Amino acid sequence: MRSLWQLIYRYHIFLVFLLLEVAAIALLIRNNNYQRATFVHSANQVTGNLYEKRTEIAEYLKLQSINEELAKENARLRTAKGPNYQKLTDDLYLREDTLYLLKYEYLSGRVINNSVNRPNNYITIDKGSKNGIQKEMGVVAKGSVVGIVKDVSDNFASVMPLINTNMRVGVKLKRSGETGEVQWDGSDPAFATVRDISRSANPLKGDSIITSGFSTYFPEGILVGTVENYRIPEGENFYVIDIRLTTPFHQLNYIEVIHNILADEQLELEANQEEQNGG
Amino acid sequence: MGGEVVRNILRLVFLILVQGLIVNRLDLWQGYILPSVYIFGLLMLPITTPRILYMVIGFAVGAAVDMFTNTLGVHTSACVFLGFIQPLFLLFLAPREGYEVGQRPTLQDLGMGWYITFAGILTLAHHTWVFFIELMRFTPFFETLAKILLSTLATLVLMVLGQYLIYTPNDRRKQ
Repeated sequence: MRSLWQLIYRYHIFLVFLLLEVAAIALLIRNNNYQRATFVHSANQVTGNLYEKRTEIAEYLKLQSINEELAKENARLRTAKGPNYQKLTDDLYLREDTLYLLKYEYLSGRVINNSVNRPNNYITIDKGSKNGIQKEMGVVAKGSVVGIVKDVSDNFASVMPLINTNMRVGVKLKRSGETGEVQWDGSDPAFATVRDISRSANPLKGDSIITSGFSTYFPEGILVGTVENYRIPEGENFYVIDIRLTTPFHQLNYIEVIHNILADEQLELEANQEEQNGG
Repeated sequence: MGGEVVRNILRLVFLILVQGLIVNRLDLWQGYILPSVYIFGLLMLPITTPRILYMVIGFAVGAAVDMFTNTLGVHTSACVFLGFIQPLFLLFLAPREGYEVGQRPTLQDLGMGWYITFAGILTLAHHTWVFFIELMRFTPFFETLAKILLSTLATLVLMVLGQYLIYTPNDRRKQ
């Protein structure tokens, strides 16, 4: 017994090193896991508030470009308003609540921290559970995909953007409808790679890549990017397509969080199905 | 002694904030240059710090830095590693007659050549750990290697410049 204590004492520094390293790596692995639950993330109150203060200062300095952006958005929305449309036929249409069910709701938010130069980037926004933001909601900016809400605190949320190597989004070719999956390789925030598009597809440079709408995160048809080049690797049956991402991750100011009102219903049904298949 | 502890804590807190709020936002050369200036606070820990304390402080500081970037575990593990090897290098690089009492690991106290060797090796080790563990694989190898070398150089330059701005050679004798 005494020699054991001597042994431990002799190597105690190395043992402490191993212990702390194991703890750190455990945190890392848990953090990379998509379904994690930890309170140490940039949506917490401390870093959240610091980021917000900094954004307030930085935003003051770029008010002009933000104003321009908002003015453009206003003009676009005003054009889309009802009185601007001329009636084409005299048929009457009745828009009944019983015919249409609101499925997606948009909540606006402001980006208070954003990184683009790491393999695993994150965005922090200034809206949290008090504003109705929940985990696993989709995030878009000006009609193109940004990412998915990963953590929420009372007043903040952190978003895992497309430019995070742990992120995958179900997509399809807009023109012909073949589905695949987009993932970022960690190098250039302007490009990503779509895989699993069947070889029956006929992609062309410039084709739009949109969300497939299969998952509960995004409605169908939200723009992800455009085809840059494509190939079928030797001996494989699927295309590997390099796409140019539509979202300018370098200059995100305002984003919209998508609340899928029917998400729980869909997930429950799919979970039931899997249970039955499993058992 | 108490003043020394407070000074070290304040320096670390200040550098963590600088790292989290300013340096991480810099987008230099499309992410090829990502300096970790906060490790200056760890390299400045007194030479007489107990070995276990180096690692415990490293764990806490790394976790704080990771909180800003949502990379929990990346800087934490790198700083624990740094805390493990830092005293070994201090021992290895010690002058023949040992360190003088009150001598700090700075370029003013121990000279430019000593400091570049000391800080260079440790920064390189820390950055190598950070970049590869964040990727969790060794590809793309050369691109990551380039990032490591450029970032190490940037961190080193900033640490040397920082010391010229803040410290004077007589600092130690005045205290």
